[in-house]
Amino acid sequence: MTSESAGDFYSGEQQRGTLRRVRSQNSQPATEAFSRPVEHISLEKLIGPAASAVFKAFEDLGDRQARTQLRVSSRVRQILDAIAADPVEPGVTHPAEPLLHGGPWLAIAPTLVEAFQEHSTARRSLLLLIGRLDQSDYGSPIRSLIERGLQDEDEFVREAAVRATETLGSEAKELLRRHSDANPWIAKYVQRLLA
Amino acid sequence: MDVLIRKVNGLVWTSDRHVCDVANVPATLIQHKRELFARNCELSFWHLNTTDPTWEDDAFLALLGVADRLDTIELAAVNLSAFEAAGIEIESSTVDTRFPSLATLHRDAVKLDGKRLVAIAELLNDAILQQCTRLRTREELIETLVRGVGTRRLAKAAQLPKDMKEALAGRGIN
Repeated sequence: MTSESAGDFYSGEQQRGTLRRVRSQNSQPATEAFSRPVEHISLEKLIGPAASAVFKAFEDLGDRQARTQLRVSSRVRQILDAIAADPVEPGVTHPAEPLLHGGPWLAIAPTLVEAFQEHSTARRSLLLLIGRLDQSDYGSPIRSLIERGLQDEDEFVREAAVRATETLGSEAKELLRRHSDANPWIAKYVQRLLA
Repeated sequence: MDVLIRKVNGLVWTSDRHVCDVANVPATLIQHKRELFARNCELSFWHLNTTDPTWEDDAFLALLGVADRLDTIELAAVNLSAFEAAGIEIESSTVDTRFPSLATLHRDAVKLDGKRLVAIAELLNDAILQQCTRLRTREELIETLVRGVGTRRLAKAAQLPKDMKEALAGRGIN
């Protein structure tokens, strides 16, 4: 398809081409890029840094009963397991979804995000899952996770955070109005949501 | 104009123009590029004619018809002749969709090896660079679904996944 026919075809409202070109300047040589897996996370790798953070978070929960801690621990473990096995993709149901409902795990969710510092795919997956919760049931922990996601250094994570705002209700616009994204594609997506 | 459309997940489209420099890249390796995910050496597309006034709605409904979550969708369109010029074989294929009238539009690019997958990656990437893309947000997709019901392309809302069903119920459609 030529540029001319493309012009006829679409009104050309997206800036994505700019993004792609900017990204490709910084990309690695093809052979190197191909020799590196996208980002496969072993559960051990994921659990390693998360474990101490989760443990600390349990302590922060104070005098809650050991039973609650066990339940949270088991739930978190299952969530991590599912995310590590299969990154969350838009449009596709993920095995971790039912695990997020109604669990007290959200109390330590911000800590989990912190623990995922080295794993942008896991942070992105977590935000995509959060975007699937009925957010009116969860309130401020969700909002702060999305807020943090919007500030993430990784554009894929920021995109997931913008997606998550789509189910946030009236608070979303307030969050998005304050968000200015350096990535033109995300900026356009945000504008679209604010329109 | 006959085009083939495929969903691209926003920024997750990671095909790299450099991949064309890599000869004989194993298909299994390309499968790790999430969006260029091929099973059994096939990659599915939808074939639409852009002279049809409803083609855009059809495209999104086709993608929603096989999705199980109501998430923002971005699609890229490639001219059918570009596929043919790249020597990529296209076959009609069957798909289990909630929009029966769109089922006949489903196509598979077949007999894919590393070289052909790379060619497809390039064509899709060119489509993105040339802005042959369309994005519909969750809210816009709900409107698309509502129109799908209105034009009877969606026979029964009850067949939809839970979140799509709930979104339609919010518009008084059950």
